[in-house]
Amino acid sequence: MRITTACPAELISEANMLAMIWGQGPEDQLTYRGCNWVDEQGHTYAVASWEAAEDWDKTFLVASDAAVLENLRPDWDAGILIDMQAAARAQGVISYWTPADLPTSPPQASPGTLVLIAGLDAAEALTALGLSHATPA
Amino acid sequence: MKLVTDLSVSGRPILTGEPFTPATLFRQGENGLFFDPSVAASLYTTHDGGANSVPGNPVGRIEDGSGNGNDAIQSISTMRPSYGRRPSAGLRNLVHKSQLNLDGSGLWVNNQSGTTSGASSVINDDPETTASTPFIQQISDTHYILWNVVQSSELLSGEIYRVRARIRAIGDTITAPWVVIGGTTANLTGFPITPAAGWQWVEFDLVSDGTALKLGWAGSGNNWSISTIQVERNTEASTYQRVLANGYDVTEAGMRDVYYLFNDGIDDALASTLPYLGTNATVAYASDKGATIQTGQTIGAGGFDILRDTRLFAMLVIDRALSTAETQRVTRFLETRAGGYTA
Repeated sequence: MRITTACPAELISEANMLAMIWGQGPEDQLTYRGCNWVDEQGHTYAVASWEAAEDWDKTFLVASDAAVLENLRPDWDAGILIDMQAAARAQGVISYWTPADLPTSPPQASPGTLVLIAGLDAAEALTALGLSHATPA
Repeated sequence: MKLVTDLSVSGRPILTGEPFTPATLFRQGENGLFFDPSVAASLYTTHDGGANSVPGNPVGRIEDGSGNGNDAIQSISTMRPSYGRRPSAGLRNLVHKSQLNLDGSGLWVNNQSGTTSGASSVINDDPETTASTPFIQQISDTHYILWNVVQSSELLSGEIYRVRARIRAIGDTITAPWVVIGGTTANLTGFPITPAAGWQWVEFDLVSDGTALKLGWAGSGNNWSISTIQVERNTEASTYQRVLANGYDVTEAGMRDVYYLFNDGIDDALASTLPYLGTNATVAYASDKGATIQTGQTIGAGGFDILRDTRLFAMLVIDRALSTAETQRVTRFLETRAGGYTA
């Protein structure tokens, strides 16, 4: 199941904390960087797309509570790197969509929201999110 | 100079016993890299080792086959390309899961309509009469919908597609497709299916409305099973292609497999750190767009992302020009690895 995410610029720090929980190592704190995607209103986003296990959402889309997320702290972290409070803030603004939600359309990217689209290929997800590649400065 | 070989010819003869490998080009101590995704033992799920990748897995490291140790790695999880294989003649089946994954995960029946409820389950039965592997999805309810059988991005509005599958009625007779979302149907064959008939092929034509194709069948309250579903363009059903791992593992009986690294086009990258290779290097690779050989390249020291286009079948970088004979052999090698596939 492919998952594509749109992270608004102001959420990058928190979303990268969450990415380390979802990922496999400290390098995943660099998952969101470079806001190279833009919506129609001009807001910028960093995006990521990856293949996840079918039950990924059941494992990771838990309550937006730092204490709950603590149970998901990776073994490699040992309580050092991941700021669970920040990760919980990112978790608390997630908007998640899968094809099972049809006929409800996928949510569009928006400031203040970490949008996750599951089950679509990356290009289709970006179209659904209403994002286009920002013109290089 | 850039040489591009068009691989659009279908029905290319299968090349066997290929004796040449670009690894032999490095015998005089040349620097560079050589990656061949068909060598499964050279791919790993993470950058620091981990398990060998299988089709559907991410690739965090691919070992350099040139002997120079210029492995390509990706340390960030979401940026790793996916490992894939497909038949050498290309992909016809548009579904992302034609059967269950071999481990029983990845059910593609996971939605229902109406007010009834029931659980889907896996049974050990294979209508292809091969092994008793758990390929089959059994639906313990009348009102399940197989959502997302084919994504909307794979279907063109107004085009005709042939939908074909094997279905078995376990309880009452199945009369016809009960639900088809994503277009209109015609030319139904194979129905009705009685429980006594066992596994039966059913098929029909779909005129797509451009939305995702979802299917369901009526069973009047009793179980039925479905497997080996194939959706392809036009109305002529062809040999079944088994699709697993969200479309990254496609095989066809009697057809040679080709292997690739899939680039999602969003954030994927797989980079080798090269030394300075001079101003007369050669870069050769096979991708969706065919075999490409670039000569007279300047390769500076630093990161070199090996991904090209959507699918990369092989990549070679060497710090010298190739002879005419070497170019011919490398071209043939790349074409073989790409299997004649074109986007």
